[in-house]
Amino acid sequence: MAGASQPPVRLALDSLPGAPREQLHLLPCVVQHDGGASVQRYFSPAIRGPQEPQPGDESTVSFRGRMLKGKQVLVPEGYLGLVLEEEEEAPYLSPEERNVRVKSTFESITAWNLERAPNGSDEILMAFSWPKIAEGRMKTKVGKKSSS
Amino acid sequence: MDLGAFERDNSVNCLLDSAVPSVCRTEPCSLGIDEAGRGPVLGPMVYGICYCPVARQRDLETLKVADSKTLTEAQREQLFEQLNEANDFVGWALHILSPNFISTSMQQRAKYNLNALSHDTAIGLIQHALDSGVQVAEVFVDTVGPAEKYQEKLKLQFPGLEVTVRAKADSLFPIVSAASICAKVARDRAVKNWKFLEDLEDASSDYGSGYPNDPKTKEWLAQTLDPVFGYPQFVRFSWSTAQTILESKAAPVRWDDSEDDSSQKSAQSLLCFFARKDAPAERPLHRYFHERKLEAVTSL
Repeated sequence: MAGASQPPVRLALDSLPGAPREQLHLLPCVVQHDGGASVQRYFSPAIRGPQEPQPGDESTVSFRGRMLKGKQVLVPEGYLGLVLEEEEEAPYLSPEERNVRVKSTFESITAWNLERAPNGSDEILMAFSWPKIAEGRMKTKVGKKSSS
Repeated sequence: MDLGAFERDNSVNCLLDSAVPSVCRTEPCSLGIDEAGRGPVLGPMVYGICYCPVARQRDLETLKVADSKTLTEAQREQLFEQLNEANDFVGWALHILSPNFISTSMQQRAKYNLNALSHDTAIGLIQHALDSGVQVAEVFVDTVGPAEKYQEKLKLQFPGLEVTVRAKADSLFPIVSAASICAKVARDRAVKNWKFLEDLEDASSDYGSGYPNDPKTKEWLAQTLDPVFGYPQFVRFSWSTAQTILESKAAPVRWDDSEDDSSQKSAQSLLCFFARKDAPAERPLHRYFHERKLEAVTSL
């Protein structure tokens, strides 16, 4: 609905093959900051847990003096996570279209919670179950014309 | 005293101790407790116990131990060496509370205040001495908070021990002075040789004593600030000195459990019940999507 008045967004697919893989962290707080963060210098060295965490593995860290517990969560099967970045040459001024590039990709994220590790009732873990349900839903609709 | 165990991972607490002198396993002992580094905004807080047979406290006095605060760093180091040489009748143990532990404990959902933390650490150290086979008979403690309450708490915990909690115990009882020396030596060494687990690049390591009013500490706090992460774990985030700087200079952070958040939720304006409801309502998302914060993206 709202998209009708928005300019189209063009994703530069050629930026995908060269994009580095990154480890993503989902924090249980809002950091009012727009821009880069020194994750490698401050955050990563402070994580305690398995060296190379496997899905489901738990670890601990602290952020701004608060204890976080985290869990490795895989992106749903058949999906790839993308971090997109708007190209600077095409600033907001051009109303016709916007161009974004793939900055990095990810196959898992570390979901962090305040003082307790994420479990099945956390939004991110529940949300990742949707693609499988959607897939099942599509299969049952084969032959019918979808109206939604 | 080898702080290696703490330096290997200074984000967690560490217990260090001397061997228990055999005489302390057979004779009733006197045990003193003191702490070092309660005030500073930087580095660990160290709890120390020192013990020796009740009958040999006079020998301790000949070592001329005194309240660690009245001694220079060199004198403390020397006295600590002497205590170690007296290992035929003097033993000690230290519990180093990492600044990360202090920050995260004090800023827990269920707040854990510094006095409770102090008391629990002291209780833990007495228990450690008992578990190591020391025949503890009497305990002398420098007070944290009101002395009577603390004394009662300790007596309740250890009904078999003679407990004396007193303000300025470190200048009254030589065994407490000895404990204060052990704690202060460990605190000084830990701060001086702090190994940052973070990569601070070219940040200065001239952070001073760590006391909030030390000009070097102030300067360092002003210069080391990172807009997102704030400070390395060396800093006690729960100290008002650090919090004031973070609030004014770093990116604001809002937590799920923060107080202003819940007050916002409850402060729903009465007017909303009178609002016109004739705006065309969007078809609400099914609860399934709502609970997962999933919505269709139609633009970036």
